[in-house]
Amino acid sequence: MIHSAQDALLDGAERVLVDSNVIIAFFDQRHKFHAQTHQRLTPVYLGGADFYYVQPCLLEFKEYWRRKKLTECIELRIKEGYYLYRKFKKAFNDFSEDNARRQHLYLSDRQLKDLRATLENVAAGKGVRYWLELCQQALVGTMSSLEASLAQTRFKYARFNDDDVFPLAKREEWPNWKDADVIQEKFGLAASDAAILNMTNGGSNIDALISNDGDMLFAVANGALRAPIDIYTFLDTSFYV
Amino acid sequence: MTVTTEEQKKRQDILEREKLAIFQINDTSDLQERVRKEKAKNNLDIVRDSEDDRKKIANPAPDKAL
Repeated sequence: MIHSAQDALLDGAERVLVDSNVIIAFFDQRHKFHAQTHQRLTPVYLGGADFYYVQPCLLEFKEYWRRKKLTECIELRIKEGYYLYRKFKKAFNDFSEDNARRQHLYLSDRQLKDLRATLENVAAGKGVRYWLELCQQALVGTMSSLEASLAQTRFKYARFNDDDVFPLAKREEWPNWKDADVIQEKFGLAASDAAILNMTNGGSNIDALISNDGDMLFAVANGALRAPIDIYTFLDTSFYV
Repeated sequence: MTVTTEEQKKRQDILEREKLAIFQINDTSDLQERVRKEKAKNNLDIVRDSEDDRKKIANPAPDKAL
Protein backbone atom coordinates (compact mmCIF):
# COMPACT_ATOMS: atom_id res chain seq x y z
CA MET A 1 0.00 0.00 0.00
CA ILE A 2 1.38 3.43 -0.92
CA HIS A 3 0.88 6.31 1.52
CA SER A 4 1.90 9.92 1.74
CA ALA A 5 4.93 10.35 3.98
CA GLN A 6 2.71 12.70 6.02
CA ASP A 7 0.37 9.83 6.88
CA ALA A 8 0.19 9.27 10.66
CA LEU A 9 0.62 5.53 10.04
CA LEU A 10 4.33 6.13 9.53
CA ASP A 11 4.62 7.19 13.20
CA GLY A 12 3.96 3.60 14.23
CA ALA A 13 6.70 2.08 12.06
CA GLU A 14 9.60 0.39 13.85
CA ARG A 15 12.08 -0.55 11.12
CA VAL A 16 12.06 1.71 8.11
CA LEU A 17 14.14 1.16 4.98
CA VAL A 18 14.91 4.38 3.15
CA ASP A 19 15.63 4.63 -0.55
CA SER A 20 18.64 6.53 -1.91
CA ASN A 21 16.53 9.52 -2.92
CA VAL A 22 15.46 10.01 0.72
CA ILE A 23 19.07 10.02 1.93
CA ILE A 24 19.96 12.42 -0.89
CA ALA A 25 17.13 14.82 -0.01
CA PHE A 26 18.07 14.54 3.67
CA PHE A 27 21.68 15.58 2.98
CA ASP A 28 21.49 18.00 0.09
CA GLN A 29 20.39 21.37 1.44
CA ARG A 30 19.49 22.50 -2.09
CA HIS A 31 17.14 19.55 -2.67
CA LYS A 32 13.43 20.41 -2.99
CA PHE A 33 12.47 17.79 -0.37
CA HIS A 34 15.26 18.63 2.09
CA ALA A 35 13.21 20.55 4.67
CA GLN A 36 10.18 18.27 4.34
CA THR A 37 12.29 15.17 4.85
CA HIS A 38 13.77 16.53 8.09
CA GLN A 39 10.43 17.80 9.39
CA ARG A 40 8.73 14.46 8.82
CA LEU A 41 11.42 11.95 9.73
CA THR A 42 12.50 13.59 12.99
CA PRO A 43 9.31 12.91 15.01
CA VAL A 44 9.21 9.38 13.59
CA TYR A 45 12.80 8.86 14.71
CA LEU A 46 12.20 10.36 18.16
CA GLY A 47 9.15 8.12 18.42
CA GLY A 48 11.47 5.13 18.32
CA ALA A 49 11.71 4.10 14.65
CA ASP A 50 15.04 2.90 13.28
CA PHE A 51 16.02 3.90 9.76
CA TYR A 52 18.11 1.63 7.55
CA TYR A 53 19.72 1.83 4.15
CA VAL A 54 21.30 -0.91 2.09
CA GLN A 55 24.41 -0.96 -0.07
CA PRO A 56 22.84 0.03 -3.44
CA CYS A 57 21.61 3.24 -1.70
CA LEU A 58 25.14 4.10 -0.65
CA LEU A 59 26.33 3.73 -4.24
CA GLU A 60 23.50 5.91 -5.56
CA PHE A 61 24.21 8.52 -2.88
CA LYS A 62 27.86 8.63 -3.92
CA GLU A 63 26.87 8.85 -7.57
CA TYR A 64 24.61 11.84 -6.86
CA TRP A 65 27.33 13.59 -4.86
CA ARG A 66 29.88 12.97 -7.64
CA ARG A 67 27.62 14.84 -10.09
CA LYS A 68 26.97 17.58 -7.52
CA LYS A 69 30.64 18.22 -6.75
CA LEU A 70 31.76 18.16 -10.39
CA THR A 71 28.99 20.60 -11.33
CA GLU A 72 29.87 22.93 -8.46
CA CYS A 73 33.57 22.77 -9.27
CA ILE A 74 33.04 23.74 -12.93
CA GLU A 75 30.73 26.58 -11.83
CA LEU A 76 33.41 27.82 -9.43
CA ARG A 77 36.09 27.56 -12.12
CA ILE A 78 34.00 29.78 -14.38
CA LYS A 79 33.39 32.25 -11.55
CA GLU A 80 37.13 32.38 -10.77
CA GLY A 81 38.04 32.99 -14.41
CA TYR A 82 39.72 29.67 -15.18
CA TYR A 83 40.71 28.95 -18.75
CA LEU A 84 38.04 26.74 -20.36
CA TYR A 85 38.34 25.01 -23.71
CA ARG A 86 35.85 26.46 -26.16
CA LYS A 87 33.86 23.27 -26.83
CA PHE A 88 33.84 22.37 -23.15
CA LYS A 89 32.51 25.80 -22.18
CA LYS A 90 29.82 25.76 -24.85
CA ALA A 91 28.64 22.27 -23.84
CA PHE A 92 28.60 23.24 -20.15
CA ASN A 93 26.58 26.40 -20.83
CA ASP A 94 24.10 24.49 -23.01
CA PHE A 95 23.67 21.79 -20.36
CA SER A 96 23.26 24.37 -17.59
CA GLU A 97 20.51 26.17 -19.51
CA ASP A 98 18.75 22.90 -20.19
CA ASN A 99 19.02 21.82 -16.55
CA ALA A 100 17.72 25.17 -15.28
CA ARG A 101 14.69 24.77 -17.54
CA ARG A 102 14.05 21.24 -16.23
CA GLN A 103 14.80 22.25 -12.62
CA HIS A 104 17.69 19.78 -12.44
CA LEU A 105 20.29 20.96 -9.96
CA TYR A 106 23.32 19.16 -11.35
CA LEU A 107 24.83 17.73 -14.53
CA SER A 108 23.61 14.24 -15.39
CA ASP A 109 25.93 11.31 -15.96
CA ARG A 110 25.32 11.62 -19.73
CA GLN A 111 26.19 15.33 -19.68
CA LEU A 112 29.40 14.64 -17.75
CA LYS A 113 30.39 11.99 -20.29
CA ASP A 114 29.71 14.44 -23.13
CA LEU A 115 31.74 17.15 -21.39
CA ARG A 116 34.70 14.83 -20.95
CA ALA A 117 34.44 13.82 -24.61
CA THR A 118 34.97 17.45 -25.66
CA LEU A 119 38.40 17.29 -24.00
CA GLU A 120 39.60 14.00 -25.41
CA ASN A 121 40.67 15.47 -28.73
CA VAL A 122 42.55 18.41 -27.25
CA ALA A 123 46.17 18.27 -28.39
CA ALA A 124 49.04 16.55 -26.64
CA GLY A 125 46.96 14.97 -23.88
CA LYS A 126 46.21 18.38 -22.39
CA GLY A 127 42.47 17.77 -22.43
CA VAL A 128 42.86 14.49 -20.57
CA ARG A 129 45.07 16.20 -18.00
CA TYR A 130 42.54 19.02 -17.68
CA TRP A 131 39.79 16.49 -16.89
CA LEU A 132 41.92 14.60 -14.37
CA GLU A 133 42.84 17.82 -12.59
CA LEU A 134 39.19 18.86 -12.49
CA CYS A 135 38.20 15.50 -10.94
CA GLN A 136 40.98 15.73 -8.38
CA GLN A 137 40.00 19.26 -7.46
CA ALA A 138 36.28 18.47 -7.21
CA LEU A 139 36.27 15.04 -5.65
CA VAL A 140 39.36 14.52 -3.52
CA GLY A 141 38.30 12.97 -0.18
CA THR A 142 34.60 13.27 -1.02
CA MET A 143 33.57 9.64 -1.17
CA SER A 144 35.11 8.60 2.14
CA SER A 145 33.72 11.71 3.85
CA LEU A 146 30.23 10.82 2.60
CA GLU A 147 30.38 7.47 4.35
CA ALA A 148 31.74 9.10 7.50
CA SER A 149 28.93 11.69 7.40
CA LEU A 150 26.28 9.01 7.00
CA ALA A 151 27.70 7.21 10.03
CA GLN A 152 26.97 10.36 12.09
CA THR A 153 23.26 10.26 11.29
CA ARG A 154 20.12 8.37 12.25
CA PHE A 155 20.50 6.08 9.23
CA LYS A 156 22.01 2.67 9.90
CA TYR A 157 23.74 0.61 7.28
CA ALA A 158 21.97 -2.76 7.04
CA ARG A 159 24.21 -5.47 5.67
CA PHE A 160 22.71 -8.36 3.78
CA ASN A 161 23.89 -10.70 6.55
CA ASP A 162 22.39 -8.59 9.32
CA ASP A 163 19.98 -11.08 10.85
CA ASP A 164 18.38 -8.49 13.16
CA VAL A 165 16.95 -6.68 10.19
CA PHE A 166 16.89 -9.58 7.78
CA PRO A 167 16.09 -12.69 9.84
CA LEU A 168 16.46 -14.99 6.85
CA ALA A 169 19.85 -13.48 6.09
CA LYS A 170 21.80 -16.53 7.11
CA ARG A 171 19.70 -18.81 4.95
CA GLU A 172 20.99 -19.42 1.49
CA GLU A 173 17.74 -18.63 -0.24
CA TRP A 174 17.67 -14.98 0.87
CA PRO A 175 17.80 -12.48 -0.69
CA ASN A 176 16.49 -14.22 -3.76
CA TRP A 177 18.06 -12.19 -6.55
CA LYS A 178 15.94 -14.00 -9.12
CA ASP A 179 12.95 -12.15 -7.62
CA ALA A 180 14.79 -8.87 -8.21
CA ASP A 181 15.37 -9.93 -11.83
CA VAL A 182 11.67 -10.71 -12.22
CA ILE A 183 10.72 -7.27 -10.80
CA GLN A 184 13.18 -5.63 -13.17
CA GLU A 185 11.96 -7.57 -16.20
CA LYS A 186 8.28 -7.05 -15.43
CA PHE A 187 8.34 -3.34 -14.64
CA GLY A 188 11.47 -2.11 -16.40
CA LEU A 189 12.89 -1.00 -13.07
CA ALA A 190 16.57 -0.02 -12.70
CA ALA A 191 18.66 -2.88 -11.30
CA SER A 192 19.53 -1.06 -8.07
CA ASP A 193 15.86 -0.10 -7.47
CA ALA A 194 14.77 -3.69 -8.03
CA ALA A 195 17.48 -4.86 -5.60
CA ILE A 196 16.38 -2.37 -2.91
CA LEU A 197 12.72 -3.28 -3.34
CA ASN A 198 13.56 -6.96 -3.21
CA MET A 199 15.18 -6.48 0.22
CA THR A 200 11.66 -5.93 1.59
CA ASN A 201 10.16 -8.80 -0.38
CA GLY A 202 9.68 -11.28 2.47
CA GLY A 203 12.44 -12.40 4.84
CA SER A 204 12.93 -9.02 6.47
CA ASN A 205 11.79 -7.26 9.63
CA ILE A 206 11.34 -4.05 7.67
CA ASP A 207 7.81 -2.74 8.11
CA ALA A 208 8.00 0.39 5.95
CA LEU A 209 9.90 1.74 2.98
CA ILE A 210 10.21 5.42 2.10
CA SER A 211 10.96 6.23 -1.52
CA ASN A 212 10.52 9.14 -3.91
CA ASP A 213 11.23 7.01 -6.95
CA GLY A 214 8.27 7.06 -9.33
CA ASP A 215 9.34 3.83 -11.04
CA MET A 216 9.56 2.00 -7.74
CA LEU A 217 6.15 3.28 -6.63
CA PHE A 218 4.67 2.29 -9.98
CA ALA A 219 6.05 -1.24 -9.59
CA VAL A 220 4.69 -1.56 -6.03
CA ALA A 221 1.31 -0.14 -7.03
CA ASN A 222 1.11 -2.82 -9.69
CA GLY A 223 1.93 -5.81 -7.55
CA ALA A 224 5.73 -6.05 -7.59
CA LEU A 225 5.99 -7.30 -4.02
CA ARG A 226 5.08 -10.81 -2.99
CA ALA A 227 4.62 -9.72 0.63
CA PRO A 228 3.56 -6.06 0.42
CA ILE A 229 4.70 -3.64 3.13
CA ASP A 230 3.73 -0.01 3.67
CA ILE A 231 5.48 2.33 1.25
CA TYR A 232 5.64 6.07 1.95
CA THR A 233 6.57 8.89 -0.36
CA PHE A 234 6.93 12.66 -0.47
CA LEU A 235 5.65 12.56 -4.07
CA ASP A 236 2.01 13.04 -4.97
CA THR A 237 0.46 9.64 -4.22
CA SER A 238 -2.58 10.17 -6.43
CA PHE A 239 -0.60 8.75 -9.36
CA TYR A 240 -0.05 5.44 -7.59
CA VAL A 241 -3.23 4.59 -5.70
CA MET B 1 6.20 2.04 20.85
CA THR B 2 7.72 3.19 24.15
CA VAL B 3 11.04 4.99 24.06
CA THR B 4 13.03 5.18 27.28
CA THR B 5 14.42 8.49 28.51
CA GLU B 6 17.92 7.19 27.94
CA GLU B 7 17.07 6.22 24.37
CA GLN B 8 15.43 9.64 23.82
CA LYS B 9 18.62 11.33 24.99
CA LYS B 10 20.73 9.14 22.68
CA ARG B 11 18.54 10.02 19.73
CA GLN B 12 18.62 13.75 20.52
CA ASP B 13 22.43 13.53 20.58
CA ILE B 14 22.44 11.85 17.17
CA LEU B 15 20.20 14.61 15.79
CA GLU B 16 22.66 17.23 17.04
CA ARG B 17 25.61 15.33 15.56
CA GLU B 18 23.96 14.93 12.18
CA LYS B 19 23.33 18.68 11.89
CA LEU B 20 27.08 19.15 11.85
CA ALA B 21 27.57 16.27 9.38
CA ILE B 22 25.04 17.83 7.00
CA PHE B 23 26.61 21.25 7.31
CA GLN B 24 30.08 19.82 6.63
CA ILE B 25 29.23 17.89 3.49
CA ASN B 26 27.30 20.82 2.01
CA ASP B 27 30.01 23.31 2.85
CA THR B 28 31.90 24.33 -0.29
CA SER B 29 34.50 26.59 1.35
CA ASP B 30 37.26 23.94 0.99
CA LEU B 31 36.44 23.53 -2.68
CA GLN B 32 36.34 27.30 -3.20
CA GLU B 33 39.72 27.62 -1.55
CA ARG B 34 41.22 24.84 -3.71
CA VAL B 35 39.78 26.36 -6.87
CA ARG B 36 41.24 29.77 -5.97
CA LYS B 37 44.66 28.40 -5.01
CA GLU B 38 45.07 26.22 -8.09
CA LYS B 39 43.88 28.77 -10.64
CA ALA B 40 47.27 30.29 -11.36
CA LYS B 41 48.88 26.88 -11.90
CA ASN B 42 46.06 25.68 -14.13
CA ASN B 43 45.96 28.68 -16.44
CA LEU B 44 49.75 28.94 -16.54
CA ASP B 45 50.05 25.27 -17.61
CA ILE B 46 47.58 25.77 -20.42
CA VAL B 47 49.20 28.97 -21.67
CA ARG B 48 52.68 27.45 -21.48
CA ASP B 49 51.58 24.32 -23.33
CA SER B 50 49.82 26.38 -25.94
CA GLU B 51 53.03 28.27 -26.64
CA ASP B 52 54.93 24.98 -26.87
CA ASP B 53 52.36 23.74 -29.34
CA ARG B 54 52.62 26.90 -31.37
CA LYS B 55 56.39 26.52 -31.51
CA LYS B 56 56.03 22.91 -32.63
CA ILE B 57 53.67 23.96 -35.40
CA ALA B 58 55.99 26.80 -36.49
CA ASN B 59 59.11 24.60 -36.29
CA PRO B 60 58.11 20.97 -36.85
CA ALA B 61 60.60 18.21 -36.07
CA PRO B 62 62.67 17.32 -39.19
CA ASP B 63 61.09 13.91 -39.76
CA LYS B 64 57.62 15.45 -39.65
CA ALA B 65 58.44 18.45 -41.87
CA LEU B 66 56.78 18.43 -45.24
